[in-house]
Amino acid sequence: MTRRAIALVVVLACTGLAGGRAQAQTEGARGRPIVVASKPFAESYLLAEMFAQLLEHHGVSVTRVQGLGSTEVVFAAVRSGSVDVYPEYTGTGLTAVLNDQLAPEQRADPRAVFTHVSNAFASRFGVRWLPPLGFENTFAMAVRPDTAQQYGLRSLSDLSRARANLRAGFTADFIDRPDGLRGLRTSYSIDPASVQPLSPALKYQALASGSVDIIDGFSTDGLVARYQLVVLLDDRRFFPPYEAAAVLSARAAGQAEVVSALTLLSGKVSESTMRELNRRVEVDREDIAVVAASALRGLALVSAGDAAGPTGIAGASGLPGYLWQRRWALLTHTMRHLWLVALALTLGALVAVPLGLMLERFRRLAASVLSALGILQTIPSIALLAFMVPLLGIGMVPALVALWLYALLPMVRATYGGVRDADPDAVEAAEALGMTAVQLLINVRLPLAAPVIMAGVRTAAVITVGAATLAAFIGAGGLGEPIVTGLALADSRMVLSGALPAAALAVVVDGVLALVEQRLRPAHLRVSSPVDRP
Amino acid sequence: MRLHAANVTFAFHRTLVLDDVSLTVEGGNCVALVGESGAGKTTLLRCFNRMVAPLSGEVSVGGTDVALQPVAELRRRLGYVPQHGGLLPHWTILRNVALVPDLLRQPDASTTALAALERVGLAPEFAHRYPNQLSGGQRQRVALARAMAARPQAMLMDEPFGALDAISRSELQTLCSAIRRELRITTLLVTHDLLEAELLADEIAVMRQGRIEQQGTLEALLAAPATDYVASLLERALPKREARA
Repeated sequence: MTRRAIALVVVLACTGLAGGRAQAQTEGARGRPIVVASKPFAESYLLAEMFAQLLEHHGVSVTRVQGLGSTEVVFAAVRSGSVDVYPEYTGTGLTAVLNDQLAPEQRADPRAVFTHVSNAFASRFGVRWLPPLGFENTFAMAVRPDTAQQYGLRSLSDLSRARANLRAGFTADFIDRPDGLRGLRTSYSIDPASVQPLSPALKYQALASGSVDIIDGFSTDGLVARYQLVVLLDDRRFFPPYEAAAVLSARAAGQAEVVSALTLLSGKVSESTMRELNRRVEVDREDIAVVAASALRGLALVSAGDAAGPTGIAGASGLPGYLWQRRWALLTHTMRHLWLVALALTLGALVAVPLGLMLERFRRLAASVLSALGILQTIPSIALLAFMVPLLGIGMVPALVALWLYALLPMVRATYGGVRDADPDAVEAAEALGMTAVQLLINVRLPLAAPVIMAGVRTAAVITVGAATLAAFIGAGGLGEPIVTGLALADSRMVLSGALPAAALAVVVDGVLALVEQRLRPAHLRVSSPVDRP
Repeated sequence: MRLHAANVTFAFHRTLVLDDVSLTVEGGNCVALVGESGAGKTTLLRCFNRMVAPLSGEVSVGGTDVALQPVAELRRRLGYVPQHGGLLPHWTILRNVALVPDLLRQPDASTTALAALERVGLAPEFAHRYPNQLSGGQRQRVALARAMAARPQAMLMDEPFGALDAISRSELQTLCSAIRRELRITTLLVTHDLLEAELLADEIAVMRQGRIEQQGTLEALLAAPATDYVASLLERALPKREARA
């Protein structure tokens, strides 16, 4: 029975991989849909959705991969061609990707920065920037209206002149960055009375409730509008310009219909428009597809009635209602999650068990192989996933490889240890009575080690179920998708709709494997011993 | 089936464990290897079933060099009883006893095993229990049954009763002696107990520091101990007899 089960899993795994390859081949280089991606925050989702709908309106078929891990992940994916379009900001391109130093007057000029960044991306990476969308999303120091009135604040220079004793609530990121608080201190000689590190989700509430007086935000944050905050003008252009634009892979840049469609958005989206759109997503919790469609209609880029998109989800229903409404999507996520975990675990076991057995034969290798796998285990999952992108692109394959690597250590160690420590008297006697090495392995060592090996498999399974939620950061889908999106939109129901099934899945997988373990447990461990050992 | 070792040398971690050792067990006889721990008794015994490969010298079973015999076949022809029984904990008693008949693909392995169990005095209801449900003495009976089930050409017993309480040990020694005399199986017995050697063996070989000091019947050893060590060993182990002599 076990042999048949193993054969079945192997066949499934092979067909899965073969299917993936076949798909990639038939789609070919040009025929593949344009892959539209975003980073994990609301504005990026929204812009990517607008790109996608606009392309679809012009007859270009599109695949959406929303919420990719970070600038590094998306950029690596665009560079390697596994992502074709995503929204990026010139300042981010300058500081995070290029890491170029520009002369102060050049750095202060949005046109100059855009020219520099787009030229550098084209020549160094073959990646193309379309003309900016028309708004900047820069760091924005925001204060309450009453504070602004009291000290007469309109710009950061006003703030430095006013010598107001303000309490600051900044994100940890902003406090540390050279173009953050440190730069503010030197270029504006602004020195807050106190600086409190705050999480991005909390800082607006903290400011509104009066716990702090000034926060760092983004100029297009929807919450700026909601709390009617005053954004202080960066009149000395301390922050580089962060003009939003569509960034295209070489393949997408070579397709005229893609370029012409997306260029329609250039210069069309003002800062106030963007802030209003963000507010609808972040504050009103409207569906992104709906907001994107209405934005495109508002810009007269699509006709009314076109690109209707799904209707928004009623904001009033509680978590159970929300989960029920999204049951089919959640089921799809769960199945994909399970598929990822099962495949990674099976492929892991197919390597880990033989490797563990080999190490038991060549024990001198064991220490070094196990510590190498141990080092692999200490790499944070998100970093390991990010490493995979330049090598394997985005999606299922790199996620599978990363999860597979994670699953190895517990299973190799368990196999090695279990087989090594199997009742030495019994093993020796069986060998001395004429069992061959293979018979010994199959009839004695493996059955005696089975409980230990299964414990390793269970550990690996639980780790993999957890780590697989991060696979959403590289576009592999699964239950991480609602978590990533929910975090980006500060929508706790959405986060829970991924996190709760993932936790439940970990419990269920562990339970199922516990049953398997019970069945594999050697017979003598199942019977209780009625005779006291002398 | 004669067991013979000629000028056998073995070293482990640069320590000489067997130093030019020669030993003969004539067909049907039982030789007891006695001596202190670390004298090399177990190593010499394990040369016969190729669990140890000597650096030099020749080891033969039935007149053929063991190195020339297929190792699994050789081992299946030699019964083996280790100190702690070495029963497979996940197998029933019956399957344990049927191990060698099964390896030899004997069609009536279960019947053979049941007969062997009966011979060591275990009722058939033990057949379907697991080793951890048996007492130490019962487990050692099973180990004995397993070693003789396939009618081996020779038996290798390594301190077979060393871990048992006095009563169980005495019962098993009597049982073992009876079976041996009945089946006339050539036996090499490692023990540090001279009384056990006297009870079970036809000859005694005294080992010390990787060498055999003397081999012969107990009477011969007592009459003319070859070395001071042999004399003192006999004196310490068998004081009453010494007094009588």
